[in-house]
Amino acid sequence: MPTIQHLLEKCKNLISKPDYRRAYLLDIPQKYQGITGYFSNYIPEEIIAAAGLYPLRIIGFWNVSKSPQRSLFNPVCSFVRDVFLAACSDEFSFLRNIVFPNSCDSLKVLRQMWEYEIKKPKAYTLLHPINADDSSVQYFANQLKVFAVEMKKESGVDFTDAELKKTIDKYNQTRGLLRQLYDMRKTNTFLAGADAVALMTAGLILERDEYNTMLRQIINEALRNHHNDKNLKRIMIMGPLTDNYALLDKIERFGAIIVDDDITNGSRYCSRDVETTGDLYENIARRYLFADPSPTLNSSIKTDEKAFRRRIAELDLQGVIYINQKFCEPHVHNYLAKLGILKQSGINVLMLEIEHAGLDTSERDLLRIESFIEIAKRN
Amino acid sequence: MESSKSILAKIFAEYYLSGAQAGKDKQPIAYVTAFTPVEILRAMDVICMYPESYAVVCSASGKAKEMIHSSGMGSFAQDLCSYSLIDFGTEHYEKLPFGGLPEPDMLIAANNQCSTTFLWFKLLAQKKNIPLFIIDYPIAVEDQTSIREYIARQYESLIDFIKQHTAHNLNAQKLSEQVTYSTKACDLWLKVHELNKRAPIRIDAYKIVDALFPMIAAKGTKRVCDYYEALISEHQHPNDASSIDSVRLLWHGYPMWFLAKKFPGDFDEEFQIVLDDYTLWWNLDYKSGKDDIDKLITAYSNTYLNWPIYKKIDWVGEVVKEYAINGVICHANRSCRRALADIVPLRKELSKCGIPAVIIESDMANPDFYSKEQVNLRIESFRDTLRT
Repeated sequence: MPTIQHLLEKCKNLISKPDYRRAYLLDIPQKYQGITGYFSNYIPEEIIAAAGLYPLRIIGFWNVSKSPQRSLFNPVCSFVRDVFLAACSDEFSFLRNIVFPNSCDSLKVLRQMWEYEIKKPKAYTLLHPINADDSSVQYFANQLKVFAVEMKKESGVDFTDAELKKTIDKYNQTRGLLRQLYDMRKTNTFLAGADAVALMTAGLILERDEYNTMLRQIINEALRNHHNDKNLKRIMIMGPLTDNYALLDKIERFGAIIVDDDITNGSRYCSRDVETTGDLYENIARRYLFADPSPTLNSSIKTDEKAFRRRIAELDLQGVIYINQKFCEPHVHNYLAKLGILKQSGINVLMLEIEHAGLDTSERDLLRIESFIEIAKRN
Repeated sequence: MESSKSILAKIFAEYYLSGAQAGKDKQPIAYVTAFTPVEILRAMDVICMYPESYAVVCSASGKAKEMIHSSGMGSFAQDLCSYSLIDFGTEHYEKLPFGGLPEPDMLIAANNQCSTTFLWFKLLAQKKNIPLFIIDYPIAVEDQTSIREYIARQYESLIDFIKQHTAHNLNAQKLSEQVTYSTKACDLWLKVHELNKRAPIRIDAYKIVDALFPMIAAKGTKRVCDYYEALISEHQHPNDASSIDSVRLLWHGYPMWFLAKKFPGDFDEEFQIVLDDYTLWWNLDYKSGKDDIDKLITAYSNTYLNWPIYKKIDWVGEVVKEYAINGVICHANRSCRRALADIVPLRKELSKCGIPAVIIESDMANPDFYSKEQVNLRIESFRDTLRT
């Protein structure tokens, strides 16, 4: 059995080393009919997997050395610019197809440029609703049925409701395990926050059975070695996709522990399960619409505010670090929306604006992080 | 016939007075985004005010810089839409044009132009603690039944939402009247542009930009139609400064509201901006649909910014042909991500057809992103290209 250190190293490599990730993906089991790349938390992996395709979240860093002199105009966010450059460098040529969400304008720009300039792999847009309310469920369920037909066509694999239920069960297991991990981290500092985010993020790349096994092993190990270092300052991170392990590691080296997050590749991914009785497509629609919302979705302001207040109150936080990617508009708005609530709750907030592929944190940002944690220590 | 200038002045006054009066009369006021189906709201006696249009007024009156500064957004001013920044600035700025917009009772936004409007209005709803309704247009619809039904259901919910917050019912006759006038106004709006279809031009492009306001503020009224009819009749003859030999230019995208003539550069008899296609984006198709609501679904889902890339390219290509355009100036407006998507592809496609295009990077409302020297230099070298 691999050691915890070995497993975590694998997770970090998958996120930050493009060649390592590619080698891993080229070695995926033969049972898959190809790899489907996708963006955002609103594309149900369950359906992609049921169609015999391997769902791969487009995250991490890529080789763009062969990149031609093409770019997108600012203020398109730095993640989208990186993906565009990677696509221009054929970094996604191994994918069978790619699925876009009905999401922010930066991704919509990328979708249009994909159609015009990138062309391969073939792109599909899942037109999910942006209003997270009961009246959108039926529409979303219908769109999911259309999506399922497209995926079946792509793979040549038909699937029954019973087979879809099997993949739902598998993804529910992942979500359940991840929630267990999140709960544990509130009082157990065995796993560093940066490692936990790496583990969480690698799950968007790893083969599902392997990932669930890995999660079980790490959770069991953490339960056996319960540890709570009270000297570490309790920090929550917020923001969009935060796959920069080096930055999170640096934050914790200043004497902090990331006990929770509200990031795309974090708690928002694993909240709420898909019900497995009744109409499965409606259940999937319901799960994706009513899971912890991304700022690109219009969910109830009052309900969200209440849930957020309750959540931060339970965490006994000493600070929140909001890590936004340059020009990520939904998250600037989300930051502005949450700032008042955090201040009212007496929680200090640090806003960092970073480039998605900026592996080296600037001296200025490091100083800001250090003094922020220093202040948190005094509180 | 009443002059267009006089009608425009009345429309302007009525719009701002109606807002102020509504506050006093306790008539419900909604802030709406540019492509909200206001015909429904007006048929339910809701006063519609457009923060985007107000941001245009603020920018044109030279207040954008100060107001953006007042918004307190600091470094986020780089990331956000300048209309929203100006709007956030109204809260702390004292010298507001026309005294500012009246306080809204509700907010209604649509994502058929961009996703910013919904994020901006959501933040506004939180700050003002007032109800918000978002209309989701996933894609420009033609015959996709499920999406049409989805939008139709949202319109039903919108009507219920307004009913719930105002106790007003939808007046079907009023709605029909609104749709009829909107349809007629669009026909006339197209005719305004067509005045410049052939050389010499009849109306300056920046005057067409100025003439857009009634299309927004007084949509669905007879007065808008009267205004465009007057404008057309006043511009039947060629402009004094126009020439049959002018190089005909198309401005692609948003104008620069903070400039007196809305476009940079010194254009003369040799080079003329014939039209800005942005103003044509407002020429919605109200004619396709089985009833009034269905017509609104077609009109508002098929906005330029909601179209797929090739539809946009084809459409601009048609405009270039129809208006006998020799060159295109593309405004890469940093405030509008959605509008940035087509700039590079469009330039490439135009070049394949032998139409040169130049890209100018600036902003629609924030003069901080406008470098006069750089832009003029680029336009000058573009003129040289066109001469050769």
